[in-house]
Amino acid sequence: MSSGMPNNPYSSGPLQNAPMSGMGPTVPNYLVQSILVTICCCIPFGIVAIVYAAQVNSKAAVGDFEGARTSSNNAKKWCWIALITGIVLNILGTVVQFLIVGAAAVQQQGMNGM
Amino acid sequence: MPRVKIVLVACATIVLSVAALALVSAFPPSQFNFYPKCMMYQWTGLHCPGCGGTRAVHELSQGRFQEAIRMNALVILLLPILVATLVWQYFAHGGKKPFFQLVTGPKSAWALAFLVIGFGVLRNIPVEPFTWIAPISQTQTQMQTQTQTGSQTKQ
Repeated sequence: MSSGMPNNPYSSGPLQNAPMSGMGPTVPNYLVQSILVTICCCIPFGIVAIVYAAQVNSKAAVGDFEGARTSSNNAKKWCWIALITGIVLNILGTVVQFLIVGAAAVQQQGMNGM
Repeated sequence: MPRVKIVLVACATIVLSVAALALVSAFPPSQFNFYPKCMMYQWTGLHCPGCGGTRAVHELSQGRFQEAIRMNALVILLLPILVATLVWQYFAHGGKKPFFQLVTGPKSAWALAFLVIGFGVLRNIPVEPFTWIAPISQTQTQMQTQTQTGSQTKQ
């Protein structure tokens, strides 16, 4: 593992001290979470999370646990971004739909009154 | 993890899943529009990997397996495995080996990633073999039922 990045915020996680068991520390890859968030929230940010998540195992397999942790954290971050954007956009979309339906109803009433 | 929390989370998950399934089963998503919409389809007109998923679950709840696959094969085939994996990840603490591991290494991780992304890309190609994995749009279903009723009245 490289020690050239003393200020790397990802290098001082609790996994740093995880016991080395043959294959090194296990890094969560968040792949399942990424796919679920992509399927359920339909936001392209989920694709970013999937790509980062898939990188985790590749990097861990060649011993780059530093990089694996970075990808893992990125995958987690993009999962949350995708989830929150999905929920916010859905609420916004529903509000806009209600406004359009309401405006159409008001217009209809006005026309009926004439 | 304390045992009480595990039991609480398990109960909440089961209750919410059953409630959601009952809701989707009772109210066809193609007729009721209180379901969350796919924002990607709303804004870009492109089908995302999850588009048609709610309709697929509804079809499956009515026992129409073929129609369910037709709406969204990925949701029907992959989603149960993903949810099972996630549940196992949550409950299997203390280094217990899972009975089934979805991702064992880099190859399976990339395969799974490309399966989902590829499915999302391919279903947007408007040519015959790829349109089979795209969900049938509402206007299409309406037209189909119209032609069906039309041919029935002719007979």
